[in-house]
Amino acid sequence: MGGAVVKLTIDGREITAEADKTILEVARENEIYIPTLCYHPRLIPIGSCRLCVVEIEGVDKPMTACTTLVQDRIVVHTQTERLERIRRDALKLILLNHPLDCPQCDAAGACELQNLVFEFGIDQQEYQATRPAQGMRDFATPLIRQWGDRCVMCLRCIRACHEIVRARAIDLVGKGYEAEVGIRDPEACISCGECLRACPVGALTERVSRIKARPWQRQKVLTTCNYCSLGCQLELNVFENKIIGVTTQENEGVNKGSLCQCGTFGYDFLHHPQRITRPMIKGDGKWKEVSWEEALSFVAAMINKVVLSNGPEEVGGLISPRCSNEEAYLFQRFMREVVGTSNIDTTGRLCLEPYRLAIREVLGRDYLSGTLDDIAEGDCIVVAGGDLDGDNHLIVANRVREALWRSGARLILAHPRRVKLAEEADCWFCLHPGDEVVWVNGLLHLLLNKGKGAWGSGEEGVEGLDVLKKATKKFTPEYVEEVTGVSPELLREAADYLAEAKRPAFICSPPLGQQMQGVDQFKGLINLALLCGAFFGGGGLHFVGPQSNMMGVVEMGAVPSLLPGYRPAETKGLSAGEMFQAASEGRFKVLVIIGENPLITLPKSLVEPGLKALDLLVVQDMFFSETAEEAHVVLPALSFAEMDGTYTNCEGRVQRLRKALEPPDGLKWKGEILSDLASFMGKEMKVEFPAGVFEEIKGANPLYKGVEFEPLDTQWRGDEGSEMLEKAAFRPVAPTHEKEQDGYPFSLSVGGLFYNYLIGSGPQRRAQGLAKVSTGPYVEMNAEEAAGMGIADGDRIGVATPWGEVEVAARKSPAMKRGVLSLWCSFYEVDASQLVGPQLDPLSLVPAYGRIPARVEKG
Amino acid sequence: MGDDGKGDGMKVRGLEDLKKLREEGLTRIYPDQVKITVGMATCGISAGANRVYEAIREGIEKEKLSIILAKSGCLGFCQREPLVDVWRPGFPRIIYEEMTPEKGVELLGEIFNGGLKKEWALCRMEEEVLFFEDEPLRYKIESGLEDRDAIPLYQDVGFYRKQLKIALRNCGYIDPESIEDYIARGGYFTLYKVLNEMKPEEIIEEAKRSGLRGRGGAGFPTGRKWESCRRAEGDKRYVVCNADEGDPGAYMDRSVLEGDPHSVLEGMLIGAYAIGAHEGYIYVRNEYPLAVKNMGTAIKKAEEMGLLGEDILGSGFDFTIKINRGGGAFVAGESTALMASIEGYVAEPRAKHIHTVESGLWDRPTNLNNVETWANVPVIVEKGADWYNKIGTEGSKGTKIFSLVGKINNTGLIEVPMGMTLREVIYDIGEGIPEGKQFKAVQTGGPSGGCIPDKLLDLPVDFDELTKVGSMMGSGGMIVMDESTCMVDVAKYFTDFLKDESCGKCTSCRDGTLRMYEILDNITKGKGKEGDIELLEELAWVTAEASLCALGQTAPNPVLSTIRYFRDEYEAHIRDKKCPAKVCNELLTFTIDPEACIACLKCKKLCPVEAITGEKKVPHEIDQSICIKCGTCREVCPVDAVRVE
Repeated sequence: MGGAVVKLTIDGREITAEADKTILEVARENEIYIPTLCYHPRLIPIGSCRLCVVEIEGVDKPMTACTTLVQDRIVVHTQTERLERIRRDALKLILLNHPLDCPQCDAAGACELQNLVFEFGIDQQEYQATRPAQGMRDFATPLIRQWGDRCVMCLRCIRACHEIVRARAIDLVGKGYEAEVGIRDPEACISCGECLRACPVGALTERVSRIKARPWQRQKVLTTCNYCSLGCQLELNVFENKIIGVTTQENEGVNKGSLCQCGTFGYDFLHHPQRITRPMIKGDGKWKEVSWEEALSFVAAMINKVVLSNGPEEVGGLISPRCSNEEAYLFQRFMREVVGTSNIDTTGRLCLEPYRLAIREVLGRDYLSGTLDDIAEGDCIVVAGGDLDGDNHLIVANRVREALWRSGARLILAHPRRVKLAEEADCWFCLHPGDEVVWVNGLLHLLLNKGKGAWGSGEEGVEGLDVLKKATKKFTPEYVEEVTGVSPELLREAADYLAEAKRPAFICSPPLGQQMQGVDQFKGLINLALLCGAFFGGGGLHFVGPQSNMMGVVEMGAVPSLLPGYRPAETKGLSAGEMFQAASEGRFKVLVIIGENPLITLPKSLVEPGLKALDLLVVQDMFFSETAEEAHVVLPALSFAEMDGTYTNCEGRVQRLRKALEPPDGLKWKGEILSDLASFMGKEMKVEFPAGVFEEIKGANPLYKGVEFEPLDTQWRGDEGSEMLEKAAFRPVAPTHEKEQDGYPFSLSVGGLFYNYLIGSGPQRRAQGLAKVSTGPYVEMNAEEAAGMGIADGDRIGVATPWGEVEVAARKSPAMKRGVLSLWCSFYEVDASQLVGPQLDPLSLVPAYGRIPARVEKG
Repeated sequence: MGDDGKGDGMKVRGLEDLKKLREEGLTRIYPDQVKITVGMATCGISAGANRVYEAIREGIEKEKLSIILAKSGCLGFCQREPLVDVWRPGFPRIIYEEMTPEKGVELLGEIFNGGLKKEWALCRMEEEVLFFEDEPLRYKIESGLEDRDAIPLYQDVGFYRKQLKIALRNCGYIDPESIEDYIARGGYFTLYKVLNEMKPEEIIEEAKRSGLRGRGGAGFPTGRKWESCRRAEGDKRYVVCNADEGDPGAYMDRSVLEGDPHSVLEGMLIGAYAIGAHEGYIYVRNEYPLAVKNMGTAIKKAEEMGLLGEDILGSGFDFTIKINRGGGAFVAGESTALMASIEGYVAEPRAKHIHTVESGLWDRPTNLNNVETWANVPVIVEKGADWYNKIGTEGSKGTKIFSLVGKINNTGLIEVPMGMTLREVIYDIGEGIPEGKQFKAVQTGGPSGGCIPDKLLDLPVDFDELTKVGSMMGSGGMIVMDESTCMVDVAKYFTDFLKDESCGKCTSCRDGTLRMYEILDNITKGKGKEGDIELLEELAWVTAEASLCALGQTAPNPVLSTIRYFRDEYEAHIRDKKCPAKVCNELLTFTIDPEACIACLKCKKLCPVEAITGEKKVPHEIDQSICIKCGTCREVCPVDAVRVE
């Protein structure tokens, strides 16, 4: 980091290097080879394998290059007879306990030990092993197998678990030659697979795929993960048209070699036997397989009929935020140009909109350009909204940990549950959902009293500082305590950290805004970020969402009021919720759904009557979803692994989807289907292959002008000057005091709805690997409150809202905010959407998934 | 006893207070009445000192005698424990050896009658050396004169004659639980001098000039360590006392902590003042409960008297000490592993390219010294570097404590000037090998030390000489072996210990020690083959070359030194399948000498495989095809009729 520079000699070469680097790092930068085994670039070196020993002139003992810092004027030798002998001996000792079962080891061919043995030409072994063979055994997660005999004691798995994830699920057990990798706390294991990726040999192997293949038989296809909006880069390992595993490339993408459990193990749904492979039409309540022609001509005729008789405004479409940019772009073109309506929406918008409207208002922009890498460099991090770990944004959570544990950053967290990061936070604010505005105003009050100006310097302030001062005047720590129960000391402590911070970073996610007045929730936080100097050299404001192309589908214009590139549409169409409202009122007749499952993700009381009133419901999906069962026509769909395209991640990186698998016979890309459908309707919509569509997008969407379909390097969408915030102004927000609804004393948040749909969720649990480690649905509540009601952990309890009631297992949590219920349903075993009310927030047109009035009934 | 309450609540503020306490202490140590002191260190207790103490206490109570009964630490001569020291005004002070409860009670009667009980006496004392006085303290002796010549003087006893006790100066002389006793023998006066008259730099200079080297084993110059630590950047500094004494058979540190804890505290206080540290840690192995207890008491007393805590002796200097108990790992005695353990992590060594004096505990400059080193410090500062550096050899100054054990007549804890020859230690202090057997080797330096053969008996013992011959000083273990010791078996024993105690981090140490052990095990079982010695040498080489910490780097010493000096024994095992010392059972043939056998059936009954035939009055015989060479018959034969080849 711009520190001191030293000059040293390695193998006769004079090298200038940064003083805080190790000999190994400097050697590698200069392409000088030193063998290693226990070293891993993302882990703190421990120097245990002894293979990287080097000689330094004037030093008696050989030193391990991975743990020794360079020093000025040292002379290093990496290849001497003595070192060769040490390395050979050490390697023989490592090899001794290692079974030579390479023919049946998953790692053979991609094994660091095998490579080293080959390199050193070790062809005889003087020592004899005595340790009894252990064979395969269960590991901390059922998704990984452990082969203790193959372990080379590099401890990379343990270090990865401790240092990157800080899960501490595994640890070293025993000492001396009896030491081995053991399970410390299986409860702590989150099945992220970090240990698996760190293992240099086959001591840990993945357990999801039933098919095995030698590494050299696998084709590795680099693509973008299909789960959340981080867009992690991963390699699908393909053998005989089947995915048999997922690997990563170091330094590739936002994940830099890491993945979460979904990315690592969540691929097996692709080969689930229940896949839909033929178009189908329902007649007399029965499904009948038909040809594409029959299906599409039927749909085309129905659309034409409704357009002619009722007008195009009675037709609409929903598209999944797991579709590619090209697909979303074509879909909005189809709706706007072929059908002639702006009734297009996506659940991606339901996640993004409150945040977008808030930055629009405070910062004067629709999107921000910041990289999540900035988080690791932050010195004070504020997290509000969701639970980064629980919501599977593990990569971001790990980035926060990197800042906390490697550079001592502070963490301020607002969440009603004691989530994993709360345990690592300096200040955890246990807030009732909706109280975030009061909390933020309290922090603003304290910071303004400290004389904090916008971006912390003497520059001309941001507009609205006076208004902000006035508006937050009454939010003294004591007042905040009165309203929220937050202790004044904690609030002051957090304000102190924020006041001192030079690079504050803010992270938020949809749960902060998916409630009534949700936009205000975000606005409050953005005011704080602006005052603390998160922009302009700060750590930035980051928004992470649940779906892989949440950002892209919105930016492609697959929303009712925006054209591609956030340009306002002249005619504003109906939002998702409004389409169902209109349908149940008889004002809307045809709905074309691509990959969405509104019965699961939208309020059931809104969707159910709407669906029933439709003349035509077309659903395209990989599997029969709950919504597809209600459709008139069902069309099969390609998976993300079967097509080319692009995704835009939550940071604005435009990344490739690459075709890794040949789709089942007869399946077509959505672009082609839409083009065919247009033809059947008597219209023309010429569609080329995905790369061609992308060229079209570059012309139609100014934010994508400079972006390439096949990039050479990381690329970001955005216009010039996307760093500018000249329109920023503080927009104070006032809390709304919601009246508690009689008979519903709790405030319920429903989580997990947007995480797994389209990818093999549902009662069938088509992602079978993930299903094995899924906890099942539960509702978490304050332990004392639960005890007061006679509820024990695991009891089935009823959760009722004015719109519905479900039965679900209770989980008691001592540190949970009183009066709050948190329902988690990643696999939709409970029908949670019936709990959500049909009202939409007037600004964002998003239903309230949080702050739902609720009551608990003992089962 | 130490809990007489006299010092309670009193803060020592200056020299006058110290002097007052010294007077109190002197009357405690040398009272105007009879005082019986029982050596109650762990070595004494294991020999039965508790029961002796109780018997004497009951005797005094029963007869309502006006006798003070006290406890002390270890006087060193463990072979002769329990030791009882009798102080009578006007009499020579007498140390009685191998006491029993019965003898204790009888001794009371003898004292009552004015007798000396000379036949039980180990030695008598008529004066004692105090480092803080120019003249020895001579007792006034008026009585018991007629018998006294039958009792050797302390300084004439072979075991003590050549010893010079600096670190052990108070052990056995004082009640370790009494701070007044310690002060009576000059304790804390040096601290007073240091805090009032000396600058930190002067102390460091004195430590450097004294030539004191770390007694933990590595022998790093103490003064230089202090200086580096003082100069290192940091908002806080720590001093640490390493009392994680883990070598089998070594108990130097234990004895000091049990017998004279204040000497360590005073040493740490002086060191901390010199370095600029205000917090200290004592890391004691948990297997030393008495040491932990006595040190705990000492810290409490010192705190009560203002010798620890804030504004010590009114000087403005603050210092606190905490005791940490070890977790039972041998490797925790390695400095970086020890610091990791104090911080709450697993005791694993880390690379030391950044020295702990710069970044140790919690990444702050940390100075770690061993118990014995700290105990030396007050004397060095009091008597001056020029006094100290005249003791010892060119490269190793002062004295060193050894635990002299094994096949030797006098076992015990000894402190001798550096440079004394092994011969003097073994034959003068140890008084030779028992049962007229032949000396074979002496193993020094703890488990990873080396074995030194008889031809090197004239080696002067110091850091450098021991290293030259393939062994080391270590913390001061000294195990004597005679002709009945098998050197391959010895190497196996120590390698076994080391393989278990390796933390398992470095490949070379974890697997190297294990493989060496396996090869040695094979050799002792007759499964050795040509090339094994070379293989051992290769493994030893890589273990020493490539391992991170001193444990691994020195782990091959037992193997290498025995190969170096006793290669013929290895070869006999490997080539001839014979164990010359007749230790390795599997290489032996057990036969029963029919001439000597008394046909008692003892061996027959106990043979686990029923390999022995014979009836009453019919000499027994061993069936070699069944015999598993367990050696039971030899052990149980009452007439040594079992012959071994």
